[in-house]
Amino acid sequence: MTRDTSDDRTSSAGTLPAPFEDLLGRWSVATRPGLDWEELCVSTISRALADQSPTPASLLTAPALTPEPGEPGADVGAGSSAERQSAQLSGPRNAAPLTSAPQAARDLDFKQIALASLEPDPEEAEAAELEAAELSVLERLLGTSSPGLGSVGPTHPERYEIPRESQVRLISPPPPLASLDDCFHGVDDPGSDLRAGDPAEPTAEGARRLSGAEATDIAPSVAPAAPGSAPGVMSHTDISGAQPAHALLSLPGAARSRRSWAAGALTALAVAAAAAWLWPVVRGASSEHIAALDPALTEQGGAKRASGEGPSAERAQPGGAADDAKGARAAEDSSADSTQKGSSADSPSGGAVGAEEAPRLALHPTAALHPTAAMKSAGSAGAGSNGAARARPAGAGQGTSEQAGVGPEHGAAAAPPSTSPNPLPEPPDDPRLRPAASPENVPIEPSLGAALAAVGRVMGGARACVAGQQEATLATVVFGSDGRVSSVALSGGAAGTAAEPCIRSALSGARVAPFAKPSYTVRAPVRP
Amino acid sequence: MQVATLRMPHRTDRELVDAAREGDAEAFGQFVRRHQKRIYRLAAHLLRDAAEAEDVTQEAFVRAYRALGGFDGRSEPFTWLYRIATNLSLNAIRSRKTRRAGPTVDDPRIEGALVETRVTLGSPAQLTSDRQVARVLCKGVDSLSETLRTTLILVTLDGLSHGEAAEVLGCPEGTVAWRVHEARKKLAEYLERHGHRRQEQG
Repeated sequence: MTRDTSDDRTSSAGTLPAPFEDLLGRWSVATRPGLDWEELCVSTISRALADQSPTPASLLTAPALTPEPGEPGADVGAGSSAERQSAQLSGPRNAAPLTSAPQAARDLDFKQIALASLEPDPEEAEAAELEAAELSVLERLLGTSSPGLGSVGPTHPERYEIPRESQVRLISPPPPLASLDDCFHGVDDPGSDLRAGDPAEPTAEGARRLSGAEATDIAPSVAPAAPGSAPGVMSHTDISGAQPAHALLSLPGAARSRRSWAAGALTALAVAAAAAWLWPVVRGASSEHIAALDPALTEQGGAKRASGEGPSAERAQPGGAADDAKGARAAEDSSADSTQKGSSADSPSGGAVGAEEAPRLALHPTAALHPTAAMKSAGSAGAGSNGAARARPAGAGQGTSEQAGVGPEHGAAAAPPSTSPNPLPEPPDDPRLRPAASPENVPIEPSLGAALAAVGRVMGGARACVAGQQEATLATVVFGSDGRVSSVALSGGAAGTAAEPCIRSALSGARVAPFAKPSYTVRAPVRP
Repeated sequence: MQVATLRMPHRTDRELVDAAREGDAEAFGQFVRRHQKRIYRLAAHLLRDAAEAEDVTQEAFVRAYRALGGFDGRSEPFTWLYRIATNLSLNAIRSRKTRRAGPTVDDPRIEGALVETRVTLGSPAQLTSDRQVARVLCKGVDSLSETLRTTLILVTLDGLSHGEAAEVLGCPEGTVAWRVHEARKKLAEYLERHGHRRQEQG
């Protein structure tokens, strides 16, 4: 098998001059004059039937060839090729024998590893204590927290405040865990774990760990949790700080946070008002464009904002400055009546309503025609999913949480771009034919080994086509830049015979990875 | 006989070997007819002697027939047969009293390289040129080590895939690929040293 030399200048190592390459591809041997193959065959069978001596085992084992200097895996002892390569790459030659991967896996004690990883590092614990002390000093000096300190993002007013106690507890070192079950307990107070604890006495700490509507439901009265409330609540909500502000403010230990929130809300309101004043100017052209394309949509959105479903409408347009204003107003409303279940549920369900709106925006023709609208609708779908994810632990059948449950499906329905008038082409099934992530990843040409291996994989079928023929056939296989065989030329015994289309068909199945050059040619002898 | 062979249903190598193991001499005969030319060509390239190659070909089938009971079917029968023939050829080379320096007058490889030129009724000048090319290439191949030469013959001259050659030689495919690359590189260097430089284009 040789490679075409016509357009190859990058990897010429091992490529022979043309006449020698041609000869390598079709090199047969002469027989002694007068040799009759049938006679030789009969003679062979006769000898085989008559010979009773056993075959030496050395003939059935691999030939004893001396490894070449520099040969891969030549200087490593027995074992699989993977082990040999691993030994070559990673270890000294006099290292201990390698343990196989399955054996190594069996040797691992996963429980010990998990417990060890959960043990607090003394240095980290010390650093955390220092940090906590610094934070408490800062807090005393400042008196009240400025809005946004500790907040997750400026566009979510319900996240403006995280109780300082929660933060301090978060960075304080956790107690050593005695068992893996402790992973599911609260970080600060294992006794308040709602999953394993007494459901009749959920504490404020436990409520703080609840998310979304759950916190809203439990926090006002610190009442016993409803039977069937979501189990398995872990401490992740402590870390995210995603509790609604009104829910957190209603907690007994959050009086100072309430004051800081009030200052923060005022500041946010001022910023949002300025942004709301500027926003129509910035948004003028695109809004007019959307309104021109679909006035009904614009009216619907405006009506929804005016009807008090602000958060949902705002979540459909994340990142806008109006979000801050509307969100701040919503938070203000909810803080004014934090015990009002319906209004307090608006916050977590806002994402769900946004999710309901998202598919309409995404599926609407204007979304496809207007990239900004499409982007916003996609963003709203994401926001809807988030909101629904937060509200979902509250369980089905609790007011707007049902809508929240609908959110993700709508969001998922809005996500596929199949509704676009110009859908993207489907990637090919064969992963080797898929385009690379970037043009830089496409090789100039396939390696010789890859091309030979590709032809070798289909050579069996080609050989079957020339079974019984006397002469070898030289096949010239040309690969296109997509990795497929673009043409097969034959010379020699099978050229022009009935076997030619058979060989062509067999060799056309060869595939290599896509490459940059227009074509790449290999020659392969097809021997009977 | 040829007509009768063609009318017979095509049986795979495995089916023939299974039948021969059960005592079907005709099946084994079919297996011999199917592969004896390839085995002969392999042996001729390795041994560089037509008479020795015939002997090795016959011996390979005899040894294979006697070892049919031990064939476990993990590999293809023809790669198993190739392994026996390669071992026999290497044994014959090692048992020679003297090492052959280069192609002899009756080297079957030289005449085999000229078959196509003769068939196409090439001119005497063309014939001489082709003969010279074949002689130089034979010398280049003979200058390779036994390991590289054997691997090159199996893959490049006989058309085995890397996987098949790896099965025959009992080494990883990557080793086969490396050996082929190394053999071709050394062959190119040899030809360049002898004035046959590859023509660069563009």
